[in-house]
Amino acid sequence: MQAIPERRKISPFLVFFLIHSIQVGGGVLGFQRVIAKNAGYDGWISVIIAGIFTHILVFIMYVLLDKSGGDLVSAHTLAFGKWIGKIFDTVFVIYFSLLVITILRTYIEVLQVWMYPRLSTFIFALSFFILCYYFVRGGVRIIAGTAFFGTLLPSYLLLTFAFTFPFSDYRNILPVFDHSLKDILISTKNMSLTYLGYEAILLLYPFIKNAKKSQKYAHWGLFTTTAVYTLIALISFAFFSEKQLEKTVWATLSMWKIVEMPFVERFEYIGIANWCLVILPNVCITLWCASRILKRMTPLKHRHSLVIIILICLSTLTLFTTRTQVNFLNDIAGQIGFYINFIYIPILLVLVILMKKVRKKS
Amino acid sequence: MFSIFKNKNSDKTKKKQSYESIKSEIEKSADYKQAFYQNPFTGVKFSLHFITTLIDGKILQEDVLPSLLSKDFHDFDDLKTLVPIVDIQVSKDESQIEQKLFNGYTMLTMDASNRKFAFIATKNEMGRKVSQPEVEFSVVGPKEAFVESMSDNLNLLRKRIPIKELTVEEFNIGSITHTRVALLYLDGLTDEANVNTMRQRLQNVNFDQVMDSSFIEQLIADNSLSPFPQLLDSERPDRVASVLVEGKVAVLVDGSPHALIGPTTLVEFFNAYEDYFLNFLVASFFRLVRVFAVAFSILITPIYVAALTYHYELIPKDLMATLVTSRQEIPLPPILEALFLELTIELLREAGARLPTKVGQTIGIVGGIVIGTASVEAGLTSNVLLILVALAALASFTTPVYRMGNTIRILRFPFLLFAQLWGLLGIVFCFCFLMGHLLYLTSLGRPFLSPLYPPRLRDLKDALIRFPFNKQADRPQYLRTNKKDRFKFQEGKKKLDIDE
Amino acid sequence: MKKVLVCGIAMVLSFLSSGCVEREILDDLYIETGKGYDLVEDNTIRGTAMFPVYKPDKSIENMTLSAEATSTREVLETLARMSQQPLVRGGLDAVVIGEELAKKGVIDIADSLQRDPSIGARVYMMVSKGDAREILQGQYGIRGNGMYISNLLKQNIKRRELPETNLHMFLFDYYQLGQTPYLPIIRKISDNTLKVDGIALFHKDKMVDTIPAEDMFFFKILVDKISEGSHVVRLDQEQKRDGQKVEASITSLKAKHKIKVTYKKNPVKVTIKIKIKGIIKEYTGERLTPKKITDIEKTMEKDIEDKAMQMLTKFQKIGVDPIGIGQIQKHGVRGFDIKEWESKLYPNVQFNVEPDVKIVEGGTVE
Repeated sequence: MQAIPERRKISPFLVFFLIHSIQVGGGVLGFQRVIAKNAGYDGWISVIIAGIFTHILVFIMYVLLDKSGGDLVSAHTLAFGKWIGKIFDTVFVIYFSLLVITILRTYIEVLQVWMYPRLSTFIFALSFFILCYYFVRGGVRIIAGTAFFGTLLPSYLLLTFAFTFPFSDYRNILPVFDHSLKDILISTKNMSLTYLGYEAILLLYPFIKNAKKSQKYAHWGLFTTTAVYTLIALISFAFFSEKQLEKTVWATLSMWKIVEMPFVERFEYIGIANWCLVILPNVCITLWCASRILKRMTPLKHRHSLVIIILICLSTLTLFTTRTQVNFLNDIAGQIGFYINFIYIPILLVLVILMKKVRKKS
Repeated sequence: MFSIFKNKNSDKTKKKQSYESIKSEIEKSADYKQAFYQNPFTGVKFSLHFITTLIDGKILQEDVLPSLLSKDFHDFDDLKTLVPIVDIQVSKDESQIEQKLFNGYTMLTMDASNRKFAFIATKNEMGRKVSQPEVEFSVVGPKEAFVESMSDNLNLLRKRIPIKELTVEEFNIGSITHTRVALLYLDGLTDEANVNTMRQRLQNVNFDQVMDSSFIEQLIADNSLSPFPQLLDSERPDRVASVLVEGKVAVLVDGSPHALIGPTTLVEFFNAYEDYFLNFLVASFFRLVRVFAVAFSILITPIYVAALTYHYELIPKDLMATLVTSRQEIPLPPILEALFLELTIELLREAGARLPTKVGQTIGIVGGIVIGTASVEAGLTSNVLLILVALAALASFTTPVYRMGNTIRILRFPFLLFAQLWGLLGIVFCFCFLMGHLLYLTSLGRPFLSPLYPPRLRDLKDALIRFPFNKQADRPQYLRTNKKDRFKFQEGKKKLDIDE
Repeated sequence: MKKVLVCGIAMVLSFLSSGCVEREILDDLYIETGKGYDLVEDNTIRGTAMFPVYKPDKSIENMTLSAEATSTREVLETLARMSQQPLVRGGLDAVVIGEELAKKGVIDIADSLQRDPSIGARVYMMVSKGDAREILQGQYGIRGNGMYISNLLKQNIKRRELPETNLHMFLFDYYQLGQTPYLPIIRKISDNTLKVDGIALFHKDKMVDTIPAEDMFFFKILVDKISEGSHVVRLDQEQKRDGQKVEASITSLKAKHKIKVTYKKNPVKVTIKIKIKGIIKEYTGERLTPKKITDIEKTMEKDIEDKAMQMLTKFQKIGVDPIGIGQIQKHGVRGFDIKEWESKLYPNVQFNVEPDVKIVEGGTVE
């Protein structure tokens, strides 16, 4: 791996924004229904448990990165050798591309349902990818900037949930632990899919100044995400009755329907439009990850691999037209992400440690 | 042989030009004069050459000629003792002739065999007196502004920073105009890298003319395609002196009453220097008002278009009746209505700016009132939009830096188009582009959005709001100055209790 | 330069395709502010759409369109066909449902409102005495009927005896286990006046009973966390010289209730503590002594206890639970069984109402 020039690197504390903004995306708009499906109104416990798991995984990832002395691709080369490693690299390219497609397609679906029924998927996706290309071309420094503003600027949206308080009944979450542990764990698994994306750290690592120091900030990012999700889960549990929530696909957006300000009668339109700012860093980071792996495993230039990934994503994205298909897309991406994070990454760590010892001996 | 049209690499050919050939070229100009004299005491013959339009005849007649003709004048060596003028240079270098003559020197030659030239400074200093700042006027504080003459400007700065560290490096830029450009910084304080970048860029400028500092600003900008100015320009010597002390680099251009300051940041464009003369609370409030005004100015018409074209749900019911009745008679869709009004306002402003002051004012008032009222009555625009557009125009004038104000006026149009395309989503989309552009921008290689991004909490003390001076103990971090502290921060006295 | 070119082409493309997004220009729309549903025959629903037409002199004319069909969905489509300009629902303020239709079930209507993303959650649903169309066809106020109706309800909720209600709360109650929804009843008095005239109680989505306007004060105390309103107390012992009973009108500034449920089965005991801080607005007796104030407090407490018990037993009998006793029970026990609650437990709940009235001011005269 060629050394990363210093001007391309970012301060370690920006990892906080990178991690946080990649975790908060389209999921926030409608995760409540998913977690309430099994665990009911104990779902908020699942949110916290899943949050704890993300901490463990990120910890493992940092150990892995430390041992392999580079990024994911160098870990693969270390564990499997040059050629088999590339197969696993490809899996990650597909996974990250899938994430890009999922995030963007889900957002477009929200736009089509809530604002513009006749918005063309292709045109919007194309424009959005042009925007993303513009950002990703600037490298990690610009992407981190997007994550920074994409976290700070829309953070005022959290305040708008205060409008739901007069209509909320916080006793709704009582009694706590009304569901079996199994149900809560199933919900935990479902929730962990919403948290996905933090594995981007596997590739961002070499671009961080004092990379080891950044672990603290990564954990803070995860913690903030968990806090935000828990908060929103609690607020929506209090706002909706359980069966009502079951019918509500985008609970967060439906909550905005109650917001009323003297100068704005309805808030959800502003919220959805603003969400563009949240989606942008999300797509940018994943796009960057996908193209970065592709760059590392082939002799391509990063700029070219980025164009390739964008073209692939764009053409695949338009294939998904109905809600069932979009849901299917979400499921697939979630499942792959789940296995990659919870099973593959720990195995990879063990392999890397083993191979290091073997190489040392030989 | 037209050496002036060639670049620096042709310097050698220039040197070989002989006195005769230069003279024959200069003689083509009608304002070139040569006069022959003979000293009655020594019988020395000499001639004076000068460009009449550049020199001060009074100096020649009252100081130079009497001393040369009425005293013992033998040779060049006597000049310094006889003529009461400081700047007299004697040289053999023929290449200097052109430069000196066209800078207001009078050339003295003796006879043909003695190939020596004396240059006597007889320049006629023309130009304005130092006057009040007009672009960056402030009610309180100093009332001096830069003028066109660089030496006057340097005087204004030196006066304010009377230390040896204030370094002035001079360049000649412009292959034809040879404009004098000065690079100023505080040696030992300013970051070497910034000085080097600026020096490098000035040296690399490759252009035939430099008429104003804005030429330099555009020529050395980091991204010349950007609508944003990437160097701050100021006509206030106090402001320039202040940023020099802060650790920035300044550039003065002869013939320009505006100095350039770098590296600059986006927030700096919204800070008036008057902010530092006012109490920090008042100043901070004004700064926030300005930021709000800018956001308002850029976004209000696009939001109007978006809400009326796509999001009728957003509009409060009380406002609905006003909006609908005011728009009922209008055949144009909101976007055309908005574009029509925006362009009208731009038209008025442009007409007002091009006309003499008094006529301009009349045009502004008459145009504003008459056209506005008439177009509402004729049913071309709604009065609600008229108010919004007028307010937006007003808000855009709050930016203290004129150049930035212009940029903001332009920015409104892409936002308008996107608002028409996708409503609110389009506005956010356009904002994303703008954000990306700003993230990319640098000034002298330093991030333009600093201290917002990369986030530097300590620099926020003098960004969107201004802290009191005693809380500003260190220089801005993004300037990477060699001396971090402005002053030693002293712990405040122990607070007295109520009854002490 | 290449990049600029790419961007340019993309922009042109998207502008060409800008027809893809629907434009809804404000002044080319009929923005519905009120909607009415009536039952005409057994299976036919008549829908009425009301929208304001803004006149150049800024006055507002209310227009209505009516259509009959078998389902609410069809009604919407027929209405849309009848309209000269696109009829949009994003500005809906009030949905009026005829009494007859309310008795047959309203969830279809509520569901269609909930499903449409352009409709807000603060829309007021109400039941009308008589035809819903009649109500919408009046001319009320100067700011349009939609505003009039929503302001009428808003005012009644904030200052008077109408409990807080809107589309979201109706749906919340409807879907919540152990709670039944309720809606305000509205009645047309004259061609330009409307009146809130009681509350309709629902079982599931069918209207089963009403609470008359004079008992709304007590109902509001029971269902709203914090409420205002006024009540007239008649003092039985005292009589004026002309034989009329002395009356005191009490405006409650702040009424809070606390509901305690024992969570034990058979019988479930429910204690409702009501705390009211009020002021006397009107008094027809001669002097308002501290003793009389205590009398008034006592009488009012008795009124509240009687009325509340009366209402609660009626709720039990007809199987509605607008207060949400079942919901509170559910929060207290694990493995709550709604069927058992509805069939066995709720009808046998023992209620105990403990009112506590405090009068803090007697007005500016003594």
